[in-house]
Amino acid sequence: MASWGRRSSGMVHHIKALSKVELRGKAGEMKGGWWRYPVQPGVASALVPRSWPCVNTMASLFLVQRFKSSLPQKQVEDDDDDQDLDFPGGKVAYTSEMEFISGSYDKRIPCYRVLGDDGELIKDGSDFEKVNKELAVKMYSDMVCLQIMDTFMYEAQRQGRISFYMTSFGEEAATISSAAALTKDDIILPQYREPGALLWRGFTLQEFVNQCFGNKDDGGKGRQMPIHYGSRKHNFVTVSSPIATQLPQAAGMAYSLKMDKKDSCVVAFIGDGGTSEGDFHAGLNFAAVMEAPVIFVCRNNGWAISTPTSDQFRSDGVVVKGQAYGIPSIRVDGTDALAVYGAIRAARSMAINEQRPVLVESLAYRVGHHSTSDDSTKYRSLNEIEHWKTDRDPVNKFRKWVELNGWWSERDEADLRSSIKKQLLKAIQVAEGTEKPPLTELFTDVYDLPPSNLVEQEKLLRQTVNKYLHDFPSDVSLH
Amino acid sequence: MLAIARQRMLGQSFKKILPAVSVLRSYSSAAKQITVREALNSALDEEMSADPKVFLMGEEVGEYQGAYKITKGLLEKYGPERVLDTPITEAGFTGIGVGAAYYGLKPVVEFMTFNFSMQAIDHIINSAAKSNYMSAGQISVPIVFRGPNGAAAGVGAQHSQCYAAWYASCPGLKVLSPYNSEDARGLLKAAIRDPDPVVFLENELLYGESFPVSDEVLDSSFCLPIGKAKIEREGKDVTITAFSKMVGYALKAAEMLERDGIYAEVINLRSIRPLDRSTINTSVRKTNRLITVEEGFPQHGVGAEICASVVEESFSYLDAPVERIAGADVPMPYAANLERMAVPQVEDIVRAAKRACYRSVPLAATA
Repeated sequence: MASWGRRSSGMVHHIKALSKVELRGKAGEMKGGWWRYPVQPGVASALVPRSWPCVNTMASLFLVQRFKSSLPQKQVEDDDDDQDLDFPGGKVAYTSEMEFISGSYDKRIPCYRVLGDDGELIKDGSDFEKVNKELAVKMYSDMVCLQIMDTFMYEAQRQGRISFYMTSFGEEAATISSAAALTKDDIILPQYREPGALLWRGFTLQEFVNQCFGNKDDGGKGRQMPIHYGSRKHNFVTVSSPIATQLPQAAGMAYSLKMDKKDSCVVAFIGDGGTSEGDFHAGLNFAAVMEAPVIFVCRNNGWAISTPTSDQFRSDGVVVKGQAYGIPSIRVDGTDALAVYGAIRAARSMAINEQRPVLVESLAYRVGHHSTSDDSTKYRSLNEIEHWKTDRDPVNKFRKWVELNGWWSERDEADLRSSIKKQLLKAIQVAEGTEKPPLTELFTDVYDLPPSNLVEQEKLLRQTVNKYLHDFPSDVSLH
Repeated sequence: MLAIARQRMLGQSFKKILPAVSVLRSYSSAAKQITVREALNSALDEEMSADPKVFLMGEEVGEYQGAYKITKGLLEKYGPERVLDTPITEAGFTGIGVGAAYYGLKPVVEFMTFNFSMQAIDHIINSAAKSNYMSAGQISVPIVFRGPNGAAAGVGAQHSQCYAAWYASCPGLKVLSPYNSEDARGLLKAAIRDPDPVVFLENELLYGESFPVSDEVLDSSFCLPIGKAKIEREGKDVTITAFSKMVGYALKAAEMLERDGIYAEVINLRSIRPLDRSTINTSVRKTNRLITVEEGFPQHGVGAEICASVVEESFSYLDAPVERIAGADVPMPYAANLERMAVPQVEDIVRAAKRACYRSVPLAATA
């Protein structure tokens, strides 16, 4: 599709650009300046009026020669590189040096971090987004809570109590710090490994566990498989399994926020694997074109199930892809809670004040398996996993920093961990004993109002169940 | 892919619109005649005017005035914030529309043809249709997907498929297919006002056809109910169900049948999902014979569903087997003679009706 017809503002820009070009030489009638027409090697390129359509035929070649001689001498000797090509989309300078842009820079884009592996600030008095005690303690506590919840729920799946689970080991800081840097009015569209963000916003352990068990207290009415959390109240859009679909949706939501002139943005998460989906291209491209306030956070954890990033793309990670769409981007250490916090704060400010998308690539290794259906030791070394699990654990790193500030003690640690474990065990026990959602919920929410065929089906089903009660599970309420 | 569609639509205005003769119905208060295109355009205009949340998006809907000129004049009237020209990515702009609907806006997304909707079908089904259910009512998706569906004329296999059966099989979606201008206005308005995702299947060849409309239809509050079929012509001997362009064919067939003493009842389905089973069954109980007509592929088609419904509910009323008239079970050929043989013609409907009424007629189609 021709881009010049697309937006009236683009057309205006194009016309303005044209009118600025000077008319040259004798061809006073010619509007729109001159093209450089390359003839053959060795022959000086001639100036040809832009408005001539068929410049590459022999006839026009002859004409070109004629024009050449009638032009003022100085123009023929003009340096190529002073001229600009006026093209739809804007002016671009010419060059007579043929040069391909390399597929990659000499140096990879560096990764922003604030804390070293030992939990100390890299630069003393360094300029980073400050975090006070209250915030730091909440961030740390939530990270510990997430780790413990993941441990217990993974075990619960292994014991056959829930059907499926996904852990966030290694990525606790990436998600929780991101959420900490946002306000509750910013809408989050997750991929599926961001329960940390929901935890930050106040989703309780009981609510998480209820969803995994699919009982009647589940806010999702037992409709979704485990870890597919969603909560309108917390501005956390329900997890959707197909990868990357949330990216164009995020652009659409951000566009709507923009039309409403809200002081908030949309944050969409995606993994390294998800950047291969067509929706990644559409989402980023569209957000840039529509000037939508959305932050795309790519959790590059090195693996898409068993596919390493070296098989996923050949670019320098995901951060460089932003520039291809005209989107400012940054690469940040996803295991560094302070770096992530700072980067997202800055991104949010850019997105809202400048009404534009921003891309953040967070590097944090996926310590756990992809899910309970995966055994990652089959495709990666135990040493590698162990290294990232112990030496590079984001929770330990942040704890060291919090302790260094005198905001946390061993006692606090012990209390926190035992409290969470107790809460979690209780939550699991309660969730397991709670009834499953009632029969009515099988048929509601398909449409806004139940259609007649479903009303009828429900009636028929109840009749059948009542007649053969012993054939149906006892933990499904008939109400 | 799009180049062909563009060539087609540029050529369209110079071509006479073939085969279906416009059916002049005499409505009691019929005053004006409007084309289906005008009906759709006025419906969009009025709904956008009434509700600032309604906005349009699609390829060429703005500056180009719409690939088939359905959105003509709307960019000028409502501005680029409410009429969005999108880049070429069906998956992209459908996803964006769904995202905007999640937030609470009411997008009307145009597909240049529903054949291209296949590139976005994940968003239509997984992100739109299932969302209200999967989110337990927290996320409703008041979106409309509209565009031409089914065979046009001489556009080949990738531009001619009918998607009524595909979309209508999915719970969570509503699927509508108008025939005349009254249908177009009333159903599009209903679709835009509906809080559920709606797939609105138009027909390219009907855009230019005029139909009489009453004053009531022209009123801006006019709306047709979703899920109700219309009895276009009453009869007593055989029921013929159809939707979109095939309604015109069925009416023509009914006229021809009348000369042979067979009075056919023609039902314009209007709504494929939910299907108006009650109207269909009531009619079959009256006539005892049923022919279903559709343009799309025969296997798992709309006719198959109607037949199953009638067998379930009105089996003992049937005096003859239900017959399905559908497109040929081949990708649509391009050559005009082959294309003609790949879609139902009026004669096919007439012969099927006669077979149902035990008038012996050969099964094979003639050239």
